[in-house]
Amino acid sequence: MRKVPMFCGPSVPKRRCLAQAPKDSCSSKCIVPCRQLKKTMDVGQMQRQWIDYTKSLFLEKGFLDGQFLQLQQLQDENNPDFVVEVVSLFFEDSERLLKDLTFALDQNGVDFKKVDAHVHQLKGSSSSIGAQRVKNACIAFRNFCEEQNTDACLRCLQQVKQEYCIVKNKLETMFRLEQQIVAAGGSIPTELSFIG
Amino acid sequence: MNLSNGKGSMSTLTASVVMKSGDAVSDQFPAGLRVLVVDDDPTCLMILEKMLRTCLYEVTKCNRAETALSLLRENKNGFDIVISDVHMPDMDGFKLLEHIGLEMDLPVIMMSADDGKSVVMKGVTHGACDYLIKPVRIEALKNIWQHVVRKRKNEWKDAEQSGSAEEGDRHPKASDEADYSSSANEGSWRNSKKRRDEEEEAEDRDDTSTLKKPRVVWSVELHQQFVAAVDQLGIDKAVPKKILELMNVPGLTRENVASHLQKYRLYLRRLSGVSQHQNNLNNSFLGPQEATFGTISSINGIDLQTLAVAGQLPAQSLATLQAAGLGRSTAKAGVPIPLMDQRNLFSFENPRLRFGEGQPQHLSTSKPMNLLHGIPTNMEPKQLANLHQSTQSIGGLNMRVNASATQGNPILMQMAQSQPRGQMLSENTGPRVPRLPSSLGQPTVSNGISNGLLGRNGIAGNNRGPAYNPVPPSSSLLSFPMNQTSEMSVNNSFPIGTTPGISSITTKGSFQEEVTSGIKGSSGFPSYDIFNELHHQKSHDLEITNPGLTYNASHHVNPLQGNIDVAPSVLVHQGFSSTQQTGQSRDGALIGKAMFSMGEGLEQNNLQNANFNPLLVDNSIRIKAERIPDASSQTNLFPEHYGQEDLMTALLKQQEGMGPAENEFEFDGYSLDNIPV
Repeated sequence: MRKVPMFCGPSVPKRRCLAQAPKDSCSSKCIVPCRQLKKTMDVGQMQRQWIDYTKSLFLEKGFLDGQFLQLQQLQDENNPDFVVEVVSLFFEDSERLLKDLTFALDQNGVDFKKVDAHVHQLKGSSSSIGAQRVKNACIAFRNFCEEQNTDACLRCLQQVKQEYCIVKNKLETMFRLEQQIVAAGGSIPTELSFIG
Repeated sequence: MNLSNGKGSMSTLTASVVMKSGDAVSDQFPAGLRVLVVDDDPTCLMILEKMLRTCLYEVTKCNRAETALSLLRENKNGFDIVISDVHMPDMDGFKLLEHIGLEMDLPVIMMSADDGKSVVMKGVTHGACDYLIKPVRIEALKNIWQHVVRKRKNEWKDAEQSGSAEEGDRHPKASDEADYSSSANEGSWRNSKKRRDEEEEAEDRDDTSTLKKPRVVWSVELHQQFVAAVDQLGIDKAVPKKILELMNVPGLTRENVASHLQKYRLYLRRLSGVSQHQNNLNNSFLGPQEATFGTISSINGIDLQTLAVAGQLPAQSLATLQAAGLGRSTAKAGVPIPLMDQRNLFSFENPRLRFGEGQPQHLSTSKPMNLLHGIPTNMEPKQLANLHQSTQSIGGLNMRVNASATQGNPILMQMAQSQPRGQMLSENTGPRVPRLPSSLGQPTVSNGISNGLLGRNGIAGNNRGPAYNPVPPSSSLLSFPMNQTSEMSVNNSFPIGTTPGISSITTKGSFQEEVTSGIKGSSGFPSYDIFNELHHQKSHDLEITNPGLTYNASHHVNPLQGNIDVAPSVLVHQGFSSTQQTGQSRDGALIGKAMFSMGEGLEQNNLQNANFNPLLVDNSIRIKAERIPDASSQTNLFPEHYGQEDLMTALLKQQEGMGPAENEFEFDGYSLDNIPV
């Protein structure tokens, strides 16, 4: 078994939270928890690690749901990077939406229709990739949009941003793990039967 | 692969595939399904694309509805199914759904993160074949091919069933029209039409072996919309696509509109076309009394259109007639003439025809006529010109009269028949003149006495009166003599020649024959001149008053007074119906003219025989009615067929002070019952 030194020190770039608003900050750390990876790991270990991590994402925290699994199942030899591509796309789109939302809610006369449209779209895309918590936050957000409650909307926006940040980090971590596994010659475990 | 074939083949193949349950074939089937995905969310779009590819479909994605539409339009048969998001920035998903349904008739699946009941219901009502809630799972996509198959299957079935459905629809429509016309002839006319429809439909069914869009039933409203759209665009510029857009009817395809437009164009051509045809039609109709009405009805239909165009006829009836008419190509044949006539009439009748019915609109509106391309527009205000055209316009006159009088009175339509008369007029210089009067006369007749008479004459509901502009009696009368002289031979039957009044009319049968023969060629134009003169003389009353008189005379076609019985009977039928308009102080002349025109029409159509007789009776009666000078009883629409000539004679006679004619006005003598209507 090859031992690949894994450490997440300086070689692991800090992932910035892309929250746009100054106030926003990702509550969780972006850096891969290096502690776990201090030891050199073999591929098998990495794979197990990856599984554990992913599992946690799903079951314990509910950051991701079954939809994500679907995405993973879509990935095949023809599209080995499918999931990464889709998720990257999601990130881009979501950031744009969050920016627009911030801008819209910042106006004097808030156009709730527009805000609602944005949130709706964010809800759709997050649900498509399985970002469950983001989706739930969006649903709550929409309710307040209907009520045309600016303050509540702002709070919701905050919430959505936060959730987005978290899941983004998680996913990126996972991808990283995957990269490492692949780099080490292993393959990503496809069977995620632990997911319900 | 089935799918790669054209739609038609695909459908058949699909069907066969499905039915076959052939392993390889059916296994293959959903694969290769050409799907178009539309979603503004790039994430979803990418995921969907991947999922569909996994299902072995051929996927095309676009993130804008406009792009999708243009893709679909460019490549009509390039896709089998469309999946579209509901909320999109550039176009509402449901709108896209409608467009696709209208233009391409493809199955469309809506999807959204929104799972609210109202939104889903909206999808249903807009015709989406399915609604998916995001996040879409691949299992849901695996089965979308079922919508493709189902749609094809339904289209086949529709094509088959629509044939019978359409027949059913047409028939009721036909019966509606029957309400307007009192003649059984119309019924028979319609029946034959129905038969034709059935045949057509049967054929269509046969053609539906390949996949076809469900047949569209062109209801009255739909046709109205269609006509409105065509009007708006201009008949030359009316292309199916634009018409479709203007109509904005969900579920209607460009192909439907295209085929309907084709029919419509043919219809217009017919209208403007063959006058002889019309005459013949009239003749054939004349056989039975109802025949005249039948003709009238056909003419009416056509006239209706014109009239309707002129704003006189209720659109509805026009549409109905048109719709029915479009289906019945033959019926239309006669129409063109009336249209022409109408216009002519308008042009010269204007000043008078409309007795306060706002007819001037008609007259001035030559525009509606323009709809009929082929129809010569001789709308020259000048009477002379009119007169000349009057042959044609006689018919038109009647039409106009009808139109104005009875807006929508079915009988008016009959008057429209006068158009055919007009045609006849054109054909026969001589008789033509008389025609005019008939048309004119009718309205006059209806007023006053004629009303009663007319009614009795059996001009079923032909109280179109108002619209009739009495044909200037002078003119008619004048022409009469002309006819007599020039066409003496012709007018043998014409009482005109014989009697001071419209004695000639008595010779109904002969008259008719004469008329036909005479009209056909005898003095045609000369009479016109006279007519014109007459017109001149009387400025506006000419047309109206005189004919009335003459008309009356002619109405009395019945031997009673040698009125223009002959023709009048026919005319009467037609004319009366039209001229019965109460309150129309149409001059007898007008009526007479109308009658003449009718008569002419009849005659020209080879009425010559018998047909007129019964009509004559009627005419005579009518004439009587019209006899009342200025009587409100403007004679009704004289049957255009032959009334004209008779009317002319009658008119002439009247002008000459035909006493007898006047007597006849009292309708007592006339057994109105005789008037077959």
